[in-house]
Amino acid sequence: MWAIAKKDFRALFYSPIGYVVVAVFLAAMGIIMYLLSIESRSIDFNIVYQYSAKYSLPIISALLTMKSFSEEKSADTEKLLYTASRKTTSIIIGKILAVVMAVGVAIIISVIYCLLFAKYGAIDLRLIITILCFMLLTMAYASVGVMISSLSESQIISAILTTFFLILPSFFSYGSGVFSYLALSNFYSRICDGRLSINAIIVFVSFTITCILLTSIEMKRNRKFN
Amino acid sequence: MIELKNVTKMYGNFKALDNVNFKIEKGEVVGFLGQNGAGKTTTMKIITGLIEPTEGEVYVNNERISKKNSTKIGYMPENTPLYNSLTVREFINFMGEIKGIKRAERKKAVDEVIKILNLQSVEKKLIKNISRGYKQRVSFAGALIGKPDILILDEPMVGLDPKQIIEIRNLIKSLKGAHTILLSSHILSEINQICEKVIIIEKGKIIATDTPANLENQISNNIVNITVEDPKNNIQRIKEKIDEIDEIKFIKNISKYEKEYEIKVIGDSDIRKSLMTISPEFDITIVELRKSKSTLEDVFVNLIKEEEEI
Ligand SMILES: Nc1ncnc2c1ncn2[C@@H]1O[C@H](COP(=O)(O)OP(=O)(O)OP(=O)(O)O)[C@@H](O)[C@H]1O
Ligand SMILES: [Mg+2]
Repeated sequence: MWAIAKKDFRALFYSPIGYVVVAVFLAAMGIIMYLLSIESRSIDFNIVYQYSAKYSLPIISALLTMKSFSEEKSADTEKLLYTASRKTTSIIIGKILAVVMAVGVAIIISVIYCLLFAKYGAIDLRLIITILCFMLLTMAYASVGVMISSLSESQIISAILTTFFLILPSFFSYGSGVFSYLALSNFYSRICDGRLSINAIIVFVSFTITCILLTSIEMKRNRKFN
Repeated sequence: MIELKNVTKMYGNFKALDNVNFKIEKGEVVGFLGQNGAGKTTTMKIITGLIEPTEGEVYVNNERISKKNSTKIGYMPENTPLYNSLTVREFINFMGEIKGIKRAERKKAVDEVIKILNLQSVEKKLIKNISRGYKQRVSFAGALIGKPDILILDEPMVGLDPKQIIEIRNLIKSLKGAHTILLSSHILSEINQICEKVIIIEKGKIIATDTPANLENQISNNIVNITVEDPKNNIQRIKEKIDEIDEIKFIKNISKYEKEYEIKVIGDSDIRKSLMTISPEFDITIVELRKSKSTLEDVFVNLIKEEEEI
């Protein structure tokens, strides 16, 4: 699990993707901060993370996960993983962890933003919870991306599908339809609003577990019919 | 030990393996021979648990294969898939890590395979920058780390230069006994010196399983090549005197007087002496006389031909 996470994390920063994604995330954050500062003199970082979760996180999750399985498939290296490791789920979890770690790099840098602007807002317990839950949300998003990438050899298709699945629900999420449950960013918004919702955390974790299970079912199916 | 029982594999409607049965004992080195598309890779993928057979069972060390015992198998896939963004050492270490070798023992294990495969000079290089021969060895190293009981090597020598083929061959020889090894190839001469057994597969069916020596004898058509000076063109008349001769076939003119023939002999008697004594009677002078032995390549081609005729 850790071996795979480390290897994938390195591969992300070996190619430009890792850097591009961190840059995009921070740039998007900067823009959000700028827009917020027009309205009021102080910046509430809870809201900055809330908007990031809604608009930039889906895209960067898609960019970070598009290689996960697609690249292993097209380079045929998945054979090495499947034959050498004991558990398929540990491969999947490793791949998700790598993405969470990469986003983690961006978040650590974003915390520096927070510290720099701390004279306007304040870093308090609430913001720490917001940031920790941001990581959980990333994990859930990454698990969707990894799942989709296990279906395709093409990185581009994986990236487009992942973005689509992560962004789409938030456009239809008003009211209480099915989409409101799929729109994870809605659950996250509640946390950012200061309502620490155990529900939201349960949703993120169970969403991740479901994706891991589906991915491992897909892998088993592949073994049978390929 | 590896055993396949009635293994059939369908890709959609295409039967890639048709009721394959064979057993490889512990410590044996077995060559797996077949033309392109015969089903070698498919068989090996099934043994490693990468794909499941449509029908039949596979046993490894008397247990049905599962994820649990898959770590007893070291697999070198065909076309040497590797991670280009890792260095040689990092890759081997990674393979050791996912095989579950503890951190404390891993460095030693990595050092060991790097030494066995002579990779010291490239261990710090990125895999994408090393030559094909080295890539092949790195892939081999990935299979070997962790000392698995069983090594499944899919065309380990393809594309190597003669010197490297000899090196890999010697390496496999040195691993004999400690590991059970199945290695595939299209070329018999590449593997017959290191394998105690050869399994030949054609169109998804096993058409022969035997030692290289027995396979040679199996169709040892006893043939004598003879070059003669035969001014009166009497050569065909030798048949009257030697009953064992089946056919005398003209091959080519060597010079104005010398001609080469191939004599096919019934049974396995040696007719060279009789040829020597009889030929003067017909004014034939023997310039060269040689018993030709069928090579394993002949056996291979012959078996495949037979199979196609059926
Ligand atoms: N995933 C697949 N789907 C459909 N057909 C396949 C698949 N994999 C292999 N085949 C077919 O099964 C047959 C056996 O393939 P296999 O790769 O096992 O042959 P091989 O003996 O390894 O050949 P080579 O020497 O070229 O590597 C071939 O006809 C191939 O086209
Ligand atoms: Mg093959």
